Amino acid sequence: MSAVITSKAPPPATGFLGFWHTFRRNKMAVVGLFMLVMAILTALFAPQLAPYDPKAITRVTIEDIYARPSAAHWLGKDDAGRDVLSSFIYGSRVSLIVGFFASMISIFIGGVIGIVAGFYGGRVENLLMRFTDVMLVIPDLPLTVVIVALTKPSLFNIIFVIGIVGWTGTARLVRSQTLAVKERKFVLRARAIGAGNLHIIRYHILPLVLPLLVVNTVLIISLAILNESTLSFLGLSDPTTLSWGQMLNFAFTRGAMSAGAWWVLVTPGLGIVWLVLGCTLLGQGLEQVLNPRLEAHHLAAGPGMVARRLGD
Amino acid sequence: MKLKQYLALCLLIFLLVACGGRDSGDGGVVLNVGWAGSPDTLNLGVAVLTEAYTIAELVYESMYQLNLDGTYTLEVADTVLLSDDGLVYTYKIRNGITFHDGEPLTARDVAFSYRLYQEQEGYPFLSIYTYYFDTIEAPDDSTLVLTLTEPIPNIESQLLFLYILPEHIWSEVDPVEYENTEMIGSGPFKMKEYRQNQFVHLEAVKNHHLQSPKIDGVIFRTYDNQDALVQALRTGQVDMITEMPNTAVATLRNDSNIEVVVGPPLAPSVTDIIFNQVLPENCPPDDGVCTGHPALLDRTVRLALSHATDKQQIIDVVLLGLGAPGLTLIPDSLGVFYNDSLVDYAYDPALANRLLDEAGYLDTNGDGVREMPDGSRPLTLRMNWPSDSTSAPRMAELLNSMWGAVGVRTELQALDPDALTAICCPSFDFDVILWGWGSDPDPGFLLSVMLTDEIPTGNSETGYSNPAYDALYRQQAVELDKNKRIELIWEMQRIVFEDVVYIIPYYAQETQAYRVDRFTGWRTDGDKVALEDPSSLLVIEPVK
Repeated sequence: MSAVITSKAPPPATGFLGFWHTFRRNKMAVVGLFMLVMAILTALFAPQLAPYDPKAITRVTIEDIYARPSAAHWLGKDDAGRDVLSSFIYGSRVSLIVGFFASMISIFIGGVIGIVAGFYGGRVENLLMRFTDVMLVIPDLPLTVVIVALTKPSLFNIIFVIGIVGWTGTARLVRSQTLAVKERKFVLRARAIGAGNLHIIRYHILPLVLPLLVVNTVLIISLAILNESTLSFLGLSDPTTLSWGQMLNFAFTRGAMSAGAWWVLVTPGLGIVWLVLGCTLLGQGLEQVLNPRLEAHHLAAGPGMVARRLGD
Repeated sequence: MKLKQYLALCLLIFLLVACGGRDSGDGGVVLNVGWAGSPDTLNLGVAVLTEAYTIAELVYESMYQLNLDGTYTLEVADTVLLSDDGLVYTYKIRNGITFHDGEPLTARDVAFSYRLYQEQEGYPFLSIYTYYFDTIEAPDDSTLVLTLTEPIPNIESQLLFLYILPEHIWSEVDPVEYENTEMIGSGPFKMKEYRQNQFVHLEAVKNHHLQSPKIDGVIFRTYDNQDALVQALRTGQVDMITEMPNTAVATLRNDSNIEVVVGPPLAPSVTDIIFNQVLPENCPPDDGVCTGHPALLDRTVRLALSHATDKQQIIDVVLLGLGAPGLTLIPDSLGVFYNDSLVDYAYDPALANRLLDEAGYLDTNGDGVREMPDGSRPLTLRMNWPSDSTSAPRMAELLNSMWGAVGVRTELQALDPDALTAICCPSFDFDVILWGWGSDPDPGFLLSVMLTDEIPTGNSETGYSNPAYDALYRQQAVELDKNKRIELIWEMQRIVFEDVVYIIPYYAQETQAYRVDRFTGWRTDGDKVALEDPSSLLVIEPVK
């Protein structure tokens, strides 16, 4: 018995180092992480990075509206005579805050519903999953628009609304993973020695569902950021909250296009693309790292991935 | 898929090319006008949007027409006789006027139309013009006798929007449900085709009894947003645009083929900051919710907010300077009726702070927001505006910081116009709204929205009630001496200015633009700007 064990490859390094070792090899994930970290640093150090105060009171005239990029204003000025670069830097804060907190809400709701449905099965599962199906078929955007219109458009409400419409996909994923995990032998054994449901969920199900949740969080962040930008662009957010979607909204409604002021439109647009792309790359990379089923089959791998020698 | 998209693109380009420029086909010389709206209906009795009236002005005639200098001339009548008691107007209708379907226009059509406007309860907005009508008689085909209940000073503006409808069509239909797509009138243009939210195609009436257009037709094309409108003018898809964002003025001025026209609008309009100040006893019993902030009932608070509002800053940022600071609901474009002797409340945040301090609105808990004198609630005001407004979001943002500087917090939210109407009036379920009014050339209508009687009808946005003001309104409505009437109207403006019923941030100027390489003869020399008015459309000619 012990011979069989020792003949296997050494257990992969556990903990963070092991994770990092695998993670590092995934170029996509590394690029995504880099993009996200850049954005987070920008948001954290906005007061130091921004050359001007984006909320400063300004005056504009017909002649100097949408001033072109210049040495003093690298990305030009907007319709209210404000520095676009400074607004852009501060705008990253809202996108990130909304992205992180809304995805936390989504993941929490989706995780709980998924695990409970998958674990308990039967009538509970039916009820929860039909509810999920209903939420899944309601188009997200009209629903968020309606809820935001009914509540006050504060940042908190935007986060809340985006959070409560974005959980359906997670719930379905987590449920199927839970279904698979709960049939595993160790769960049956734990139950045989008298472990309660909560204990099993806490110590046996959750650890195996967690990687899935992490991956989903990162992917949902990008969705939340897009949702926030959409809502702001539609003019549904608080106009005093400076976000990239808000910048686009003002540029669109205040004639940036006919003024040919591409810098007002392109800058926040690229910011959104950068952040969403970063999160998506990181999420997909993490998925490959954390989900063994997605890892390449050993027969499809190159010479570097050939099974290690016995006893090595 | 790719191929399909490519084909669709080709088709689109083909269509754009096909509609651009002057039509040299069977349509003759056609003017293309771009605008961002579309008539909501062609039935003027139930129409709400100004676009419907723009079209009606071209297709219909009424008793009077308004000129660019603000004067009136008779349109379907030759002469008018007024009885000594000022009650009976006898109009001689011109001979030889025909409707677009060939039927003659007689005094009977005029009488029929006026009775319809007076009696039809399904026409919500026109009854204010027929308020003083007593009887309307047409003793023969060319005589119309209009008897009033009281002598009034402004019969011209009262009859201006009462367009003359053909009796032989309108007596056969349900005047509220009728869509009027044929739009048979007697004006210098006749309806050719109307597609809502797409275009309105009008054809010139040759041999019109007053003046025939020199062009063969005009097409009003609807564009989704003002940027698209500006692009359409620059690329030559349209020859004139009736509206444009101020942000595009500089760009268009630099285009040698385009002339930008800026000036006071022919139809006066005013932007207002509305305070909900309806008193509990005036809350409409049926529709009223009346959740306004109690602090707004206090004139001191409204006055302090006036002093905290930097109107010039708003004009600079929102209008790019194309406007003047406002005083009351009566704008400067109403000419002699505008009380220019009032001196505006100066922008003085220190004074605003002092006023609020002295009135007991103190920030007792140190959160930067003042509380009511009894400490019951903070001075946090809801601020709403219509989501289709391009100027209101910037204004809201500025007000948020200006009022915030004196310890009044605002919660901002754009609302769909329908939703805004629902919370506005007569439900009074709001604190502050940024909105506006379009008006007649006569101040009567704008003055009426501050009447106590208008609180339950929904016309009063503020819920303001002042018996002295109401009495003056009734007095000016029947004051025949023009100078005395102006005096009364000035006094009314002084009252509402001192009561700080509204803050009027600005009176905006109209900005329009046309291509100089397509048509000439645009009337830009008048006091007012309205390129889509018959005054221009009847005289423009193609560039040779």
